[in-house]
Amino acid sequence: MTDAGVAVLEARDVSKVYRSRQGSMFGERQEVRALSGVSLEVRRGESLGIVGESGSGKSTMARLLLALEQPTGGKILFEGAVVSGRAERELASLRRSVQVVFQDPMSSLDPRMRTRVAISEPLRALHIPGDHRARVHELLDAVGLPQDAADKYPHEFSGGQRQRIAIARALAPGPEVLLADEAVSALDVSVRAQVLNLLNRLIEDFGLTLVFISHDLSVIRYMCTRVAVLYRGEVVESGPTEQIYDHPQHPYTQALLAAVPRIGQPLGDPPPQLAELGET
Amino acid sequence: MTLLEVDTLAVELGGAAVVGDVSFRLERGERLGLIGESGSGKSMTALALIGLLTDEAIVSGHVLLDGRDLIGMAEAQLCELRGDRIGMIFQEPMTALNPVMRVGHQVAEVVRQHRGGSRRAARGRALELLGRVEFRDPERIARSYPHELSGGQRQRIILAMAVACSPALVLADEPTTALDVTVQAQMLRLLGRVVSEEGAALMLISHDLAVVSSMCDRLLVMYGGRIVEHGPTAAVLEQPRHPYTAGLLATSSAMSDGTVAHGQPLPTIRGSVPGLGRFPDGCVFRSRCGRATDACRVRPPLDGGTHAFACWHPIETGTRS
Repeated sequence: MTDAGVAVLEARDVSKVYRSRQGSMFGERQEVRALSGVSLEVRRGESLGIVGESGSGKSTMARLLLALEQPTGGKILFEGAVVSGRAERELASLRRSVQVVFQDPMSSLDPRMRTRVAISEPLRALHIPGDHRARVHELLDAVGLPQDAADKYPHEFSGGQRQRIAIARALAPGPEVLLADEAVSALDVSVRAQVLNLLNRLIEDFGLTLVFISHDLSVIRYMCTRVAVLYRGEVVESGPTEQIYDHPQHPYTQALLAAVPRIGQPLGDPPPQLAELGET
Repeated sequence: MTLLEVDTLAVELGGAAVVGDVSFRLERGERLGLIGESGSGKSMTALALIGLLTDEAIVSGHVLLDGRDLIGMAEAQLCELRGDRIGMIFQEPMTALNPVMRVGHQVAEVVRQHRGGSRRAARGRALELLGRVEFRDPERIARSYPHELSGGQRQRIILAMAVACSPALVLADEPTTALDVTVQAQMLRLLGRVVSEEGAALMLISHDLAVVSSMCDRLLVMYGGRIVEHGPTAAVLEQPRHPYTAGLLATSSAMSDGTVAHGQPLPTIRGSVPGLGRFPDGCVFRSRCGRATDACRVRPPLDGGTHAFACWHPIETGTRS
């Protein structure tokens, strides 16, 4: 792979504050700080995991990296160029190169749209020329779906198959970066493994860079070469996967890892730091 | 001593058999885990046990609690049992709580409904229960409305309500599935502790093998509305006999133990769970099973004593698929 180790996506000291549009008739204008001072880079060819619980800011991070929202402070860069604050028409390259798969394909796929139309939609939206019909069949093949899937509707598929369709659509414009936001979290265990195997094969075959955002530490461990741990809007720890899992440094990372139940092992005593994090 | 005896429980919904031939016993104080993926019939089984299915569902078989059959029992009598002899916890606490009533009042209501007594006594009992589910300031929590609490706090309120009348059985269906992992750990420990203190039996239902196996003495594995394997937790984990259990265990542990290196394929179970009513006749798992033969067109019985399995071609002992 060329340019190995070069940052393809980067967040530089990014913060995001959500404000209610105006103060309510009674009371203050509300502010929620979703991210504060987050810096991370996604290097070409790597698989970066962003792990966090609810309220950690991981979904906000996804929306900022996809330039679906603007940071309140700091910058988002794509291939070294600042994309935050740019007009939509200047984002053509990012839109094509960074694609996303969300958790629930039932809400990301239009129920009235046949698979063929759904998969080729980004090709039309991004004005990508070529034989879209042939491209759809190529993509169905790549994600392990039969060709006759093209003429069916989302409700005719199982959850795992729908997620394959969502992946095919993300791959349609030939992206460099695939961002998966809780992409396997709604799937049954036996199907989850199939979809993860598929993702790994596609990453290999298409030379994709992966950003995998999840609350699931096991899945992140398996999929990613580097991990960033988000807690209350900040990256508390980041590094190579083995280092994070085998020698976590931050108390939150330690608590998070200790909290994962293990097959056949009775629950141990809570680590002291968990008591402080817990709700009383 | 047997607390709950379930005998050939079956549920039919819209002409489809969603649960079939479910039989098991639960001893007093025992912890039983029911594991299955979506469509396995595990939640249907739970709801059928306590008579909470809608009228469209046709339920047959017997569910004996302390020797009394809950199937066919009048709703009024079931209402007396639920919340009293049987405590219940479901996935989404918000649906079980009244959004416009302070939570302390809701806990007290359970006590008053089943035990009667003065408002003052019920109030005192509610505060004591809130303390037992580890709220440091029960008085403050009691005054809160459900929306003012986090998901984990709400689930602890539900736990307090479930054990308010010292039940003989706590039935928990995916009690931690909607919670963050750190909160889940806290909730599971608390559930285990409170159930032990009460001397209650626990029936814990989950899709997560790690959750049930870390909490329970015995496991029931369900697939396609049927029990495919049943035995002591350690035996089922060390020597799964049904190919479905073995597949589920292989794929779950490969991910959670980090035993499969990055980039190496994970073990999988081929295909996907069929839709409702679309499971094959004979063995329910045969459409996905690598060991299936013509023999599997005939439904295998659940055989084998304490560690039972329903399979014509079980995994041989001493091996691990």
